[in-house]
Amino acid sequence: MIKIYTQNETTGGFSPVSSADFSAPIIASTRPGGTAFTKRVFIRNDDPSTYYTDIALRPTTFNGLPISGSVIRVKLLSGSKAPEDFRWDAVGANGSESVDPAVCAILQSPMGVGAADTRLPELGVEGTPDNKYYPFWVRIEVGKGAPYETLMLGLSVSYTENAI
Amino acid sequence: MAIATYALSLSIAQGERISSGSSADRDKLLEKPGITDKKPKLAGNVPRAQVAEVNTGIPDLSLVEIGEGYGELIVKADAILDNLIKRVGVLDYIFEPTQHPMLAEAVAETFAGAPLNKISYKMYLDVLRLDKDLAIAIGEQTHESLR
Repeated sequence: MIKIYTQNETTGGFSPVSSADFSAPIIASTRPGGTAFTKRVFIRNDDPSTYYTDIALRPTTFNGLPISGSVIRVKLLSGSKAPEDFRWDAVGANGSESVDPAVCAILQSPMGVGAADTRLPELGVEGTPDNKYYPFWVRIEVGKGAPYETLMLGLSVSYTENAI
Repeated sequence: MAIATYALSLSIAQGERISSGSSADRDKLLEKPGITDKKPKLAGNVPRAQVAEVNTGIPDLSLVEIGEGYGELIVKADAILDNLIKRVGVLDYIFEPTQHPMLAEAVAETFAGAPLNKISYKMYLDVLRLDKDLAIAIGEQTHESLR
């Protein structure tokens, strides 16, 4: 199964992010109009008997719906190095029906189409699983005037699962 | 096509908490490893007679006068820091937390909720201010011991 992981920066260990509840979420915090929150997380297939194609990763509400409005702006970029500001400025925020990374936040497989930092690899091919951790970055900006609260958001992954 | 959604908790708070942390934390953030091992013994911690000896014979009265005159220096130092943040406030130091785990840990402990891969110029100045406040506190303690 495809899973999202966080990494302990001190020990280097990976922890799966919960999917059914908020028992182990990605934890983000910032203040209205303050510095954007940025965190590196990972996507991985933990099942050696399957491989995954047509992967698309989007920020959503926890119900899988698009994040509405522009006060909360969630962006995604892939890669092992922290993206520079000009790359964050070049990509869209939140989700929509669009698959254009300049319009909304989306990471898609396969590699080799468009900018590399807006893509994800397909996780394995027929006969060969791929169980490596692939890093990507989540950036969250909260505009001035946003209420003080804790929001339950999500990262939604759509995919096609195939048997090895 | 299947879809799975993973939890992302976003806390929007009034402000990023800045704690003074331990001196070791501040040294890590300022990249001054090992400085605590070499810190000289503070004058305030030794008998007054020994202080005069340590300070190569400078009359105690001069030290008191200098100590009492530092107020204007603090005002000027604060003005310089404020001016600096206006001029270069957009500068950020981006680093890879896995390659600098101690630095990332120090950022996490000093600036709760801040990204672990970045030190902004404002954060750097906040640390300088904390370091300055500590130096002033030590100076005042020393000053009192000279009275």
